[in-house]
Amino acid sequence: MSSVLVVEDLTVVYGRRRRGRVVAVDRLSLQIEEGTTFGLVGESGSGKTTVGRAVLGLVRPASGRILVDGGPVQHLALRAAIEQGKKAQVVFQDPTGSLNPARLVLDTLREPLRIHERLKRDASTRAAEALGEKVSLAPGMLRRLPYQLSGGQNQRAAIARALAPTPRLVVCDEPVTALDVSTQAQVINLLVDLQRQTRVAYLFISHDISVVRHVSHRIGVMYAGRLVEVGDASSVSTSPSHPYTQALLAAVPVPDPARQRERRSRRRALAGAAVDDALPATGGCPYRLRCPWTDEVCQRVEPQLRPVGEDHLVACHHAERAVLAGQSAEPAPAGQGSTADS
Amino acid sequence: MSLVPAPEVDAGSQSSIVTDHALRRVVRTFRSQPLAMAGALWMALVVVTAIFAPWVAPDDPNAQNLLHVFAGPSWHHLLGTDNLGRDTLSRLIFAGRVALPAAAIGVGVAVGIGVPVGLAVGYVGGLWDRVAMRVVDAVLALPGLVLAIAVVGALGPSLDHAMITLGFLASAGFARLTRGVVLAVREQPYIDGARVVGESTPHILFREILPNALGPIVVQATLAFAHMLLFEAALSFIGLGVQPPQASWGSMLTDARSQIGNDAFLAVPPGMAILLTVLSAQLIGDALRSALVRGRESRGRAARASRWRTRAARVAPRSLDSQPRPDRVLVVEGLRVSVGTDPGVTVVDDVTFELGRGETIGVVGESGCGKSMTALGIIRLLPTGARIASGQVILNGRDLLALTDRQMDSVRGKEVGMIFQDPKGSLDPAFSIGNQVSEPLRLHLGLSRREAWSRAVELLDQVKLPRASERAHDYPHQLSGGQLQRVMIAAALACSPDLLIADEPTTALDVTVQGKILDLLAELRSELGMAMIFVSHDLGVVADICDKVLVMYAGQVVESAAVDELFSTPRHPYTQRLLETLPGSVMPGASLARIPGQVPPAESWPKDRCRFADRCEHAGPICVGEMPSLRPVEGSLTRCIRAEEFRTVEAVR
Repeated sequence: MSSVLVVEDLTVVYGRRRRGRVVAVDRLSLQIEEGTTFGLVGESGSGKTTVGRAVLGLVRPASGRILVDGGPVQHLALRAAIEQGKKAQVVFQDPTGSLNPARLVLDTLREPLRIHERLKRDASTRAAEALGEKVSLAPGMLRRLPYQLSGGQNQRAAIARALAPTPRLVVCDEPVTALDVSTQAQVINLLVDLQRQTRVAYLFISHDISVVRHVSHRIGVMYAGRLVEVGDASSVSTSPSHPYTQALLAAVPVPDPARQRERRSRRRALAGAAVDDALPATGGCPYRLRCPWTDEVCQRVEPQLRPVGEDHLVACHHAERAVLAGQSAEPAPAGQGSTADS
Repeated sequence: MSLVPAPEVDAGSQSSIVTDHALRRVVRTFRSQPLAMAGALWMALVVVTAIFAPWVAPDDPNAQNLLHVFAGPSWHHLLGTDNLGRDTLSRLIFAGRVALPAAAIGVGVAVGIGVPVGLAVGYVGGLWDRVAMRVVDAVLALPGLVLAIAVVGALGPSLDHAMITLGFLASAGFARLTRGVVLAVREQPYIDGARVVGESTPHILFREILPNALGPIVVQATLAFAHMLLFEAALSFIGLGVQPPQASWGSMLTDARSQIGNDAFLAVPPGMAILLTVLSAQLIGDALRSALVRGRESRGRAARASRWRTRAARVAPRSLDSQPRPDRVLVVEGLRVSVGTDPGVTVVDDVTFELGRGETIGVVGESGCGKSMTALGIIRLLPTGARIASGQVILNGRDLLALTDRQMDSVRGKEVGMIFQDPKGSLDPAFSIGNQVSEPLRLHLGLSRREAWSRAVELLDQVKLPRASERAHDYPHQLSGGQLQRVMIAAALACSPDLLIADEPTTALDVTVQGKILDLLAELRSELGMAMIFVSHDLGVVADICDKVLVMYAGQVVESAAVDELFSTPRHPYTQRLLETLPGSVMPGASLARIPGQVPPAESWPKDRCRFADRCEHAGPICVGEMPSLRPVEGSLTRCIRAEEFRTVEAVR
């Protein structure tokens, strides 16, 4: 089995009492092969970050199974899970929040080396400097506090820390969101290069589908805690079959005014007639309040993931119609969306 | 980056750097605060004389000399003698050997119990935390001195017992303080990172979390030390501390009180000793607080401000486009913004553009290039420390920079509307959204409360907030980010301004919501005919909504062009590079173009050569010879001296 990560029917629920119980992740399954990147996209509140935290053992799933490198993930309560640290690591969004502001970058980098390689002080310093070199951080830079480094440098240090125990999987939770475009390109290139060198697999979580498309081999689109579309990165991005994926792709503005003028009308049509940030519906299809294709079936039956192509699954009753409309640049019919509103 | 020179340190002594930083801040604070310095010196004097008491004290503190009772201060006895003829100064010095260790025991017990308990319950949380905090509340409610007296009563007079009891009680405060820091730090990504790496819980508590709490703990310990000194004096005063003939400041006061009729001066030396020492501890604590605790929060800001503390470049403003247009709403001419004391550092350098009715100009560039400073300068809302050094901002024929602050208040919100990145932070959580949208209407247009409210509902409806009349009663926390941004737009448009300044208005929103907000802005713009300044780092968004674009680098406009022109034929290498770094510009997985290095801090922006040259692959000797001017090249303006050459190079590729 070469799957580095297997997630089966993962459900995560926040809040214990009945009141305020939120199902953050709902029966989600995915797999990541060695040396590949799985991109997880979705809007804020879609549950994508929770998936990453569950994979790392930072939240306890309500049900389901998570295997990292063949072994079940242990919830990181108070006991340290050293073996797990060798398998899965993490890079977070906030470049300053990912490093302890009260410790030197070097000390943060030495930590995994001390734990996993059992290196003594001098040896771990040398190893940490070698790691720094891998992410283009000079030894002088490592002897600073995080606030003395730029966002990109902090993020590179965070990547170095994650790679220190030579993990099989790194969960990258919005690793470039807080960075400027030029710095973002540096960090993305670094992640891609390191993957080629070490065959590490990434679970790449982002709200920015253009970044996800660039780095991923496979893409999963989350809405309301569910995977609504998943498959090969190029087929998901070139022939998106879920109306939500289509809306996401259409909404990404492209740096080309002429093309963007065309895309604007498509964006308008696909974003749906309904309220912009309508809450996901309960019962039936969660996307039906925002979907231009909604009909009576969507209200009754919750769509399940079904194949629409090779390595391409979608959870939509009307995927075929949506795809057709997507191909003929003509947007979805107006007016249909409004019937199921409110 | 150049803020602090890279410390050259051998392996093995790095951890001292962290404390070095703190130490430097502490030294700086004490130097700048004479009172705190005086306190520190007095405390040092007390400590040193107490340690070396047998050598520095002029006399044996218990040596009686009944021939010399109640002697006033003299050359022989600097502070006189008491009723038994003992030298007061010597007793005072030796008393320090009682007071300081007693206070240290108290503080030691308090820190030793309180900090680990606070760390543990804060980190574990849940039931443990709730129970522990109730216990802390109960302990804090106990009257310390009374309990200490009870303990001494039960175990016999012993200062140590009393101080341990008091330390135990004070530990509750330390537990609460430490727990507070833990709660703030616990949710930080780096703690999750440490757990994922496999660090053990004690290691996380003491190596990752505790260093963040050290500042507040040190401050609290110093203040607790002052309290403990007072407690010791009080206990000894009522005879429950040290026993005669041993000297203590408190027991000396007791003696003085009984002899008050014979010699009133006896009370002065111990009283002053207590007063000055306690006061010193408090002053030291306050100074440490401003160095370690407040300094922590403002450190980033201070660091950024200090980057700006060099001389500014002086470039004469010049007019660029002399063709006046009749429909122009805004003309910005040679705008220059400086930060820091005069002359300060120029962070916006000679920005010139104009804007017609219904026209939108995008301002793009990396962070730290002066985009927001330009926008804020135009409406004179610069942060403290920044000011407009020169230039003109002419809105509808009136120079905004010549207006008084009061006149400016009536321009903002009426003639110029503003929306910002973070709608949540820009709206007041205590007022309903209808209230906040109607405020500018009442303020600027003089509408009555009722008129303003119904107009506000209309506006909320116009920005497509669903069920506007009901939702006007909602408070900001009840709305989503996209809806809040709609409310912000409604408030900004309330008085139908001629100009809308939007600073990254869609950056914090989901991409589908961003699309809707962009559509809304475009629609309102054509309806109301207002001009718009749109600051954004997202070139796609700029392509979507703008008619023309200013590209800023290091405080300067490096390219200015119509939107189609800019994206199809960028004339400045920086613009071109920005476009190439976008993930959509190459095949997935292929290496993205990158701009080497980063925007240098404003203090090191050169004034006699191209500022982008260091990061530019096309740079040659000519680029570092002089500062290139913003010059027209085929309908665009560019600040690249080799614009034509580099276009050819690109074409050949």
